[in-house]
Amino acid sequence: MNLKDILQMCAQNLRRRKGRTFLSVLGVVVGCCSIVCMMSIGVGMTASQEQWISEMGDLTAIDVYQNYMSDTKLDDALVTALESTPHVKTVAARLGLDNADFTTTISAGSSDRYVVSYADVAAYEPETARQLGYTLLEGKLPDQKGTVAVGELFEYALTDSRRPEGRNTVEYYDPETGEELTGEDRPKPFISLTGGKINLSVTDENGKVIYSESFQVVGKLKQDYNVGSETDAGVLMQAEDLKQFCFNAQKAANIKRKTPAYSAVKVFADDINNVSAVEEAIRGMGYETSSMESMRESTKKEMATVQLALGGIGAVSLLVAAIGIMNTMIMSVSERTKEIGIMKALGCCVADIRKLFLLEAASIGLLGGAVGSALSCLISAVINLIYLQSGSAGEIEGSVLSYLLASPQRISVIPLWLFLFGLLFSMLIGLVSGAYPAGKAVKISPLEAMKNE
Amino acid sequence: MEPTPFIAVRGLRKAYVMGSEVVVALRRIDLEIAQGEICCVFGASGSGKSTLLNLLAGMEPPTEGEIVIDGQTVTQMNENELAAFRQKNIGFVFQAYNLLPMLTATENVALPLAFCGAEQKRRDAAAKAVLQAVGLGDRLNHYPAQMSGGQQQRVGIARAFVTRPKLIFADEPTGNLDSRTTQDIMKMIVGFARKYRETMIIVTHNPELAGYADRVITLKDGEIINDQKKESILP
Repeated sequence: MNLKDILQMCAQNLRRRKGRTFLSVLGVVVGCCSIVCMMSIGVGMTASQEQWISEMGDLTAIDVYQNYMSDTKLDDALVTALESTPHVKTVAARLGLDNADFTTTISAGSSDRYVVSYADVAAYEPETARQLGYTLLEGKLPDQKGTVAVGELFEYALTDSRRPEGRNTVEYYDPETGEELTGEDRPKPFISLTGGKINLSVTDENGKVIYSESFQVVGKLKQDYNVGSETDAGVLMQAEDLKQFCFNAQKAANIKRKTPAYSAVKVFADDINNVSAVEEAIRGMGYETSSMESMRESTKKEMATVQLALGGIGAVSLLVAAIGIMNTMIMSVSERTKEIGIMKALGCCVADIRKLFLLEAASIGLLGGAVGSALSCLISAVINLIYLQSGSAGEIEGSVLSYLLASPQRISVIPLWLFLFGLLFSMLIGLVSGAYPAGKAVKISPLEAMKNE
Repeated sequence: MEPTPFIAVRGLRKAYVMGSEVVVALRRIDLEIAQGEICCVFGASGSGKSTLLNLLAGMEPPTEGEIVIDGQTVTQMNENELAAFRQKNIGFVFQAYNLLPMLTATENVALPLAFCGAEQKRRDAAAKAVLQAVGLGDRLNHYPAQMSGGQQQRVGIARAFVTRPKLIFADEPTGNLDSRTTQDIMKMIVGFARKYRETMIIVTHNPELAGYADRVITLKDGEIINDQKKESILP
């Protein structure tokens, strides 16, 4: 018999016993739903874990540190070596004023009225800065000589030198609750630097300005510590500008001219799964590294266990459904003993009879799996809806679990693979539970056709 | 020169073990049947005639002996070979018609062709032609439950002949029919067999049916007690 005939016959038989087919399929639907929904919660939890970790930092980012035991430095040679390391997408070498051997202040406004004594200054090559993922609140990244971008809260770091202590700053948070004020609630700073200028000055030990340079503010960065602390109340500038400033400052302060060392080197892997390999390579060069990888690794393991446990609970109901299919098929075989005998007497080969029953069982499984998987998507949506409503009520901070509960994230996620898994696994269950009844059918003698009741 | 017999049965014996007792269904059968012969195996119930049919059709193995049909030793075949052998060479007409209830007349008749893997179009055409030949051209899409006994048996006959087998077994083909229908059915079966020169073995306890055969083999207690050839009485 060709496959089409077997399929047709199988459909006919399933239709002939609609009630029983329906009940067996229903069993599979329930089983499939329970396993898919359980696993979807596992997947959802894994996803929120991943997000939780990624909110603490870019998962592909690796911080490279000097190893003080060995004679390694964060210098251009390292940057070159890192750039040629496999799976490295970007090397971000950060220049700063932290290690400078002179003191700097930043000021703004007419006759340097507004002053900030310490600010994070970061400088990158323009190309690197573009890849670091700065979000701009306004304007653009510094792209020309003498231009800078300031952090979101830089303006609030400025103190008014003409006001007395205690009233010389504008706070961006509520002084009573300590809560950060956003949008309209946030008071205006003393001075808006949009389109303005800032002065970077070098002072001697007496606080006297010995050198100063002016920079055009072309953009404002959104605060994001994953990208860098300069997005908070710092300044982002171009590497070339900073180097030049340093040389000029050193000259003015009568210090030996030297290229500033990198204050931090960060490497981005091309894929989250290559992070550990890149880390390995960097450690091999004699540097220390840190990334989210180890944390991610352990939570991944933990989540796999949770997922397995949830899937296991769901699998129990699918097992019950499998027994249901087997029962249905055994009934069907014993009911159709005569029919099978006739088919054998007419020359139907054993393999075809086996296929017929296996296919019938597999169809019940597939049908149940299809309905079950589709229904699971619906159930998943309902779970998420209920969860979202309850989630917004109570906000707790601290542990991972409370974070998960408080985050406005979907708790149940059904990715395509899970959908297909539900479908195919149900079919497989049908096939497996059909094996025994099919074996029984195959053993029926053609003599059954000769019996006359 | 004696032609090679189409069916050759040698030293056939069949005994069933029932509990501690051994029941002998066939004591010893030696038999030769020629190609195209219409043969009636006649006997009372318990004579072993049904057992002989089952053994000839390869539906159960004999205790002893050998059956050769058309040069092939049926008694040495395994289950798959037997299925293929029945598919190609044997047609069955059953007492209880044995149509599959969920299939229409056409589908029932086409079933043996489906087992051979024939294309649906081709087998439906063949089935329709045979159904028309048995006078059921207007019942093509009826289900067995919607037809009378005589009509169902005609579907059964169409099914037996659709593959043009060399050998037809008819097991009490009219056992469930009234005498008028019996005549129609017997004339039809024998007519087909003669037309296509097919060998036929009719198993019955009804002496009326013996009249349609070329040869009547009478069985009693598992042995042939009479083997009579005669001039055919039907065209």
